[in-house]
Amino acid sequence: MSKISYAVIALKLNEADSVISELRANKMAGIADWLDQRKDSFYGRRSEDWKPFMGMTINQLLNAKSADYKSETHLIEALDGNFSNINILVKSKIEVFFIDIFALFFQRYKDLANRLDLYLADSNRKCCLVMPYGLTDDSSFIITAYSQVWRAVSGAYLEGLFHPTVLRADDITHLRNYLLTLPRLEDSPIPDNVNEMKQRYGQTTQKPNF
Amino acid sequence: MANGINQSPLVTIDQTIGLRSWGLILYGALPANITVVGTLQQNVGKVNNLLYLLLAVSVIPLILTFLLIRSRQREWYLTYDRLFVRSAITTALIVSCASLVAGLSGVIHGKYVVSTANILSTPQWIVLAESFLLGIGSLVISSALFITIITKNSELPGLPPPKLVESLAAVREKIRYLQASPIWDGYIRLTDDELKDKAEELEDELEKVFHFTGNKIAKKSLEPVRDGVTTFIDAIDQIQQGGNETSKEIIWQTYFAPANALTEGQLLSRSAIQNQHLNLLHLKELNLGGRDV
Repeated sequence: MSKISYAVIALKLNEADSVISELRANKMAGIADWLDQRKDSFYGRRSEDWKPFMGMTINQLLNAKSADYKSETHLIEALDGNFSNINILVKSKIEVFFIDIFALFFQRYKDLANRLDLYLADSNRKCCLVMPYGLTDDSSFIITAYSQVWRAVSGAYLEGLFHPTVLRADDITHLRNYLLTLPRLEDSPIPDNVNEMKQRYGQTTQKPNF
Repeated sequence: MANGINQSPLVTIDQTIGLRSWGLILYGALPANITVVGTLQQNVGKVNNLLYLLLAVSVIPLILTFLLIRSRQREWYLTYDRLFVRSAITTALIVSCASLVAGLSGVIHGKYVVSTANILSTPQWIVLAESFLLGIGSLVISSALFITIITKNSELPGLPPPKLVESLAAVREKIRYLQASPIWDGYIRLTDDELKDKAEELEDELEKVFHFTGNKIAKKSLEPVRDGVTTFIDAIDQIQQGGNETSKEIIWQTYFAPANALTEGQLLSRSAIQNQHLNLLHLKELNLGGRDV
């Protein structure tokens, strides 16, 4: 079976200071300080270098047991400034997006969320919010920010679609094993193709008569 | 060295003066020794009157020796880097040694006297010219061993062994195949494993060389090549694992595209594999000359 493709939407180290300033401006000084103390251990030069738990990257966490996952984060890195080539993500085979909670406060990733939100909420893909445990006693600010930035995805979650939140390394381990049991994206009807079939053959509610 | 690959100083010296084939100098100067033991006496004649003519004529065997040495040096090394310089230095060293031996022979047989007086005088130049001509003459007259060495593969001390030479020829041919691939110029669909298979064959051939005993300098010089081939195989693997053609092309860009064609995000991805990218460039730009005849 082919590997499950994933992508990471996370800060780079040189973006962390901007987020810290934004958090302080939004009166979240406690969270800003928390991040400031840990940014060097969390982040690297690339989004893929993000280490949310135990000093391990998402790739290391997902493939710790067996190499069942492959990163397509390079597709996000290849997006141009105004996301005019967003199709490379839309048409990709990425099945799960891991979202760094702090990326919610960086403008580029907010803009990216704006472009992808509806599409991801409506597709068979999964969004996994990664929020390090112990971040804050009051997580309401963070959850609120998530709900505002990924509005459709949050709504889809409430309706029962699979867009989990993970708080620790074991959650990612559970997630990586669980995803392997689910139907793959390549096994599901591709919405574009379904729409094309409907246009060509029309919508029908009649059952075939054998 | 070009492309940021740091070459070992020992490898550079080897490429410049032919360290791995040091025996060539001895085998080249060996025939001159028979003038020392007096078994061969060459009558140069009155050199001082025909000096310039004789020196001009002696250039012919000198050039021939240089060309033969260059031809063998080409086979003893993977690339053509510094081939001319190395061949010229080797030729010069052989002729110098042969001339020195011929000159010492003259001293031993009482023909010449060692003196530091008037070192730039005409008689001194004539002695030097005679020694040079005798040295060249010994190469021409009694150089069956030397000709054998520089025209055929021989298992002799101080020279690269025949199996190394054969392996280098095989490695060279396989690298040429990879260098000719269009993958260097633009993204291509890898519909089969042919390119990867060829790269893996090259990797196996290189491993054979690394398993030979001795030949440390040759192995050292091939380490960047091995790294380049390993990276090439990794790059193809990564490209083939891309989820769709767009993803594959982006991965190709990370490994192969020039930096000015990359987005800011891709430049970051490139920086994470900068060493591998340099290894690839090194492989691509190896100077292998034309096809081996």
